[in-house]
Amino acid sequence: MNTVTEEVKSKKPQWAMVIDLDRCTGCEACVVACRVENNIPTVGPEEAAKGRSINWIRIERYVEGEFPDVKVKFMPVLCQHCEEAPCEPVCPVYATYHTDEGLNAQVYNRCVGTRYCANNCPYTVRFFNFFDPKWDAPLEKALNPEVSVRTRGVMEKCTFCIQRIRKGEEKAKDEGRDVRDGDVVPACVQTCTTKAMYFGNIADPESEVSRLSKSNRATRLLEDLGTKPRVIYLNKGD
Amino acid sequence: MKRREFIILTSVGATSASLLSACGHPEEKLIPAFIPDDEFVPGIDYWKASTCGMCPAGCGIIVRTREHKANKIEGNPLHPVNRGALCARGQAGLEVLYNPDRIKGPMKRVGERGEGKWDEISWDEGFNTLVQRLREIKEHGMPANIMFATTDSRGVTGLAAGLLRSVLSPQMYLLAEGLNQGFESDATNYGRYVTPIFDIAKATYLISFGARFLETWLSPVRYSLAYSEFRSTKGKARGRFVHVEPRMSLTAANADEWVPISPGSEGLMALAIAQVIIRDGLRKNVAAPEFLGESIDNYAPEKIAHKADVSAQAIIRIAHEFAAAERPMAIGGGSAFATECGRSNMMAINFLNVLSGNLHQEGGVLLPPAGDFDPFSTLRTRSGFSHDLEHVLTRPGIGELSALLIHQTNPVYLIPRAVDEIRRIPFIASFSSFMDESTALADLILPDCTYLDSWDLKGTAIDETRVAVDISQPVVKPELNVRQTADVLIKLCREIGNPDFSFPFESAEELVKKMIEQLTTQPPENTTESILEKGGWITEAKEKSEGPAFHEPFNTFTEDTVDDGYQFTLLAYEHAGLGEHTNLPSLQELPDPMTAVMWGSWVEINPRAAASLGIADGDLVAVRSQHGTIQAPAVFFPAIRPDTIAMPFGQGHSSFGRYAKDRGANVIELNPYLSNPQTRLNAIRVNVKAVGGKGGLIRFGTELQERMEKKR
Repeated sequence: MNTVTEEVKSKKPQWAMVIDLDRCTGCEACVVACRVENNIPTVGPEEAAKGRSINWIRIERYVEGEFPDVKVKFMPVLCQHCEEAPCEPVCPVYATYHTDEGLNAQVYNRCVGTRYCANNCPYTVRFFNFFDPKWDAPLEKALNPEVSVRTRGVMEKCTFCIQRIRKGEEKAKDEGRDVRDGDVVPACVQTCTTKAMYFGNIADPESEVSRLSKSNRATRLLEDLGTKPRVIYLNKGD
Repeated sequence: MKRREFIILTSVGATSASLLSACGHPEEKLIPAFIPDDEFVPGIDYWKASTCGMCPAGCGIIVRTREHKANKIEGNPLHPVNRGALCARGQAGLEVLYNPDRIKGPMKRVGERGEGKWDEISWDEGFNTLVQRLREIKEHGMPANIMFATTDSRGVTGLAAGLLRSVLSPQMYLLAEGLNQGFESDATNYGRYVTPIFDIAKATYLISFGARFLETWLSPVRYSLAYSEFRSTKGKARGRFVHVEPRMSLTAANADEWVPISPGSEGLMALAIAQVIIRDGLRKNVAAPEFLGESIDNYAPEKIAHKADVSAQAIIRIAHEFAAAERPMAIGGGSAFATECGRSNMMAINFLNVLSGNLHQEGGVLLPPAGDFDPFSTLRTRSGFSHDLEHVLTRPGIGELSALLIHQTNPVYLIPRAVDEIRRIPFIASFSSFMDESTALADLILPDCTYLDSWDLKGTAIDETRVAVDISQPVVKPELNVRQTADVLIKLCREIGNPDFSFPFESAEELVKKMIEQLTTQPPENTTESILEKGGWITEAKEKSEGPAFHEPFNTFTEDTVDDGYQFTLLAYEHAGLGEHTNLPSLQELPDPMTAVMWGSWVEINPRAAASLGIADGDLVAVRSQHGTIQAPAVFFPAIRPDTIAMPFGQGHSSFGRYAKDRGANVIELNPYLSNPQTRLNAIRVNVKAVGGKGGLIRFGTELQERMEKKR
């Protein structure tokens, strides 16, 4: 099943995530953890009805069959941080670009809100800020001081918790070593109630994501598009 | 523990003294962020350990704070219950602490009852009013029918409420009632009222009858982690999981096999499995008791298949799989328990565990340590909590209640038919943090702290010998003019108690710290401060649990359903995200994992059944029972029986803050007996019909249809 056998070689860490679909129960703890960590505003019922709610990570459900032979499968979907990201070349102002750590980054101050990137993303994980975000006081006290709040007119999406990556890298640097597993834990991975998510440096052959990415259960979302996602899913067991 | 070094836990000892003293002193609140404490460095995260209060499971949490503000909650990696993980509810906890609709200080009613006119008052005035009213009741020789209603019968609140009962009146009722009691957390009866611990991690074959253990059943994070190990293939085979429930819940969706059984027949199927195991000579535990007072052959798969609507072949196959498995286990709850014959169902389900001999075994049913693992057991007076608020409020002949004290529960919402009774009570005081329906009827509001700014100590059984003692402590300085209810109650006891009332503690903080000193063993590194930093400790119980004294299953299975004129059975279930927390915007806007609905109630209906009634997806429908009618949009849900509909529980508030108010429908109105687990909780018979028009369904994601409002 694993058609992409990517040998990633890089001196810089190459960040990747592995999600074990056999363990993911669809509980959505990751969804709320992401909202709290990354200052994602709730938009309220009226705007949510127009499809304007923002979830950097969401649980997709797939319903197969008819009663009584129904199967429902869950899949957490977030920015896949594609190596060949379709969102990047269409940005007229280079607001979305690829970092040398394999991250698909978004520069909020550069974004002019053309939304071309969202239209070109096959995973529909990019969200547009139709309004300035609003938190009813004193909810704004719970904002994470390490993550900027996005204003009206810019795109946003999962950053792999870049603030946590930087912290982990700084710590490794302080200790005079390379980053290793456990240095960087994004909010979704941290809270996962079934430990179904893994995060790490796929360029390090010893890392857990590296090992799991070679599993015969490993697959990537819409991989025939050639986007080379850095999120790897492990299929359900038997 | 990889993340251990990552966590910088603040030394709570030095700062905590100032935490509580700040309570109620406005001068301390002046620009606190600009006056660093001695140990406080701006820009550095301080993590404080405490215990999650979003449900009673007792998960350990660590809270990231900076500049005296809490900005993230995570699971405590050192805590044996949740090992660093935390569910969606727990993650949303900061919205309780910083909720814009929190009651900011004591208030007294000035208008008519329920009119919503309040005057802000001082704590002295509020407290004196409470003392005066209760003293009047005590001294006027009225039958002191005073009720203290709470969800929290454990910990410091339970302790303080028990004290109040001892000084005030033997006729005072202490009631523990909330959604979690009797709704989903059905403790099964193993001879005494304990909640067993199910070793799902080590089981190899799991059959669950309605126990939604990945959502709201007992301890979701603990059992999700166990499920993860159950599915693991490291050094063992992947566990097989069969789920029996009329509707496909999220837990059922994760099963290898979903058995959409006829509602209420779960016990029959369990007995049929038992019958196959016995008749085919497959039972492992030869000492398994005979049972029922009638022949189990009456429950042969062939005889009950029609009623349960599960084929005899399927039951026989499952029975053989169950018997052949190395470590099989059966669990029950939810729709199997919350029905007329719920108790019988649970007995029958537990009988499977007896047959397989998995009690006290690895991968089986474990009983928590015997004796009391309540850290305050030495201090408690009579606890005397009744668990049936509904019964007391609606029982004829109880006499008029002279005062109702409400703490962390909402009787008006939970027992709508008692509203008139509650309105007649001469004095109502609420300790609620939010203006819920019951608090709206109060005469006096003395707002409590939330779980993130109060002190508490509770025990949670880990396995047959170990108990985790969980500390709750303030993670930030309380910023509102609120006081912990336990402190208020202790002070109240001192005011109105007899002269000989002596209780050596003034506050919950003092109690918790003293108990830590008394109860922890003393290696030199185990100081009170170090234990506060970790958020608790683990204690070994002196006595292992004996038993079980297995109860003979008794038969109260209902007769074949007669045509009662109703087409559907309604399953009302506690939603994993919402439940008691509809006042949190993050949970309102969290798409339901099965239907993607947000911000409201919905009715899950099988598309075929809907088509026969002319109902389309998203149509507004009226659901009518013998007791009432509510309206909500229909959601086509292919994974539910055509004779069953389902609705989540928790919406439909007429008051409870801006995010919950006037949103969705309250399922309880369809069955005023709903809050009592013994009565027809999930067996509400209803009819459904379209009332015309769309129901304003809000769904997240790809199903959303792009519509242009105006042609351009």
